[in-house]
Amino acid sequence: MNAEYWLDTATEKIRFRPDRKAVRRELQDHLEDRMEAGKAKGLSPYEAEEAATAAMGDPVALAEELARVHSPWWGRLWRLSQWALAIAVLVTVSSAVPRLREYLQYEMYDPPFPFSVEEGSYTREFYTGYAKEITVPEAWDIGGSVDLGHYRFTVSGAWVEEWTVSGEDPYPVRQLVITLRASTWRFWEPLNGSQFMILDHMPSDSGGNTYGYDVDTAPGEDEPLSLFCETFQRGATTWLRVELNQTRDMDSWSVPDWVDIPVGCGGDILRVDLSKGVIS
Amino acid sequence: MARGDRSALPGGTAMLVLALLQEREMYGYEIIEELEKRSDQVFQMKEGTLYPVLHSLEKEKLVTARDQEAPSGRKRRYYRVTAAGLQALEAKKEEWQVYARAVTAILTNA
Repeated sequence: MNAEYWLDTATEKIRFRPDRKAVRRELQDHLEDRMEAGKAKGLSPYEAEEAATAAMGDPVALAEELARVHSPWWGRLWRLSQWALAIAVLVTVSSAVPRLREYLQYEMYDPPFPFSVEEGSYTREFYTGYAKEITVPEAWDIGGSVDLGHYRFTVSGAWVEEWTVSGEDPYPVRQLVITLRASTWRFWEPLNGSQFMILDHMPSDSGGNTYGYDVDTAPGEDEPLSLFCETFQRGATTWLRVELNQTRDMDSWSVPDWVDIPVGCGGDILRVDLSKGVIS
Repeated sequence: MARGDRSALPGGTAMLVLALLQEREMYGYEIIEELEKRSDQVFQMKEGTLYPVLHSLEKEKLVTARDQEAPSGRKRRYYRVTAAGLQALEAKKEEWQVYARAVTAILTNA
């Protein structure tokens, strides 16, 4: 009989695993001593193995004997602990399933806005099926990153958009778009949209403009320009699209050198420097 | 008496094992070799059956075991008889003497 098979069979009824391993090792030592003795007498390795296992006796009967000696109580406790572990794993996994489904649901959606675009033009499609042709006269690559808390902020894209609002009295629209990306290794705590959105603090730029919600679409000199934000989250990453309306001077408009964007509830300010192409 | 003990001898294998261990500590394979050598091959047990006997003796604290590396480099489990083990051995010897006398008495009178 194969020595490994003999050992497995003889010890298989010992339920407490550490015991089983120790007994197996002891029996294995014995078998090996016996095999070496056989080989010393001129047996081939195969013959020595056969002779050694035969001398040890019936492993099935021995398994019963060993199981009787090695108290089943440790074995039962051991089994019990294994069951407890299995149940704990099951509970953990099943409670994680709803979270996982949430994640997968996000995976199903396409982002509602592009994270970056090239100079030229692109077509933006909305969930409603409405599509808008947008001209992009200028786009920038912004490098660098800023760490706030356990979130890392980078700029996915920055560009200028122009299109015409159609209707009875069509008028041109121009806005500066900056898409920020916040990611975290703490996948269970992605930055949520309401944390990301700028609420109490107003963005501003190098040209002295400020931007706010619910402002006049044709503001006066000292009034804030209009601002619009959208967020999208996938996994541990959240994107924020900031639209900064530039409709005050359609003819004499020039791109600001930088824009300060407050993020998070604390109003930490990220400076997106368009002239240097870096976030800080 | 050890629960693993199924020998026809009163005291059986356990008694013989204790008697051998009385002299020095040994590991399983050594015990088997000694048994064979000293009994002139009369006691030829299946070698595996030694271990349930040893383990139940250990459980009853009649022997203690320790792992030690043998000169060959292999790790071995050495058994040593305890004070309680020596007492048990005396009791088993006693049983054996009673048994042997009874058998002898019947055989010589027959």
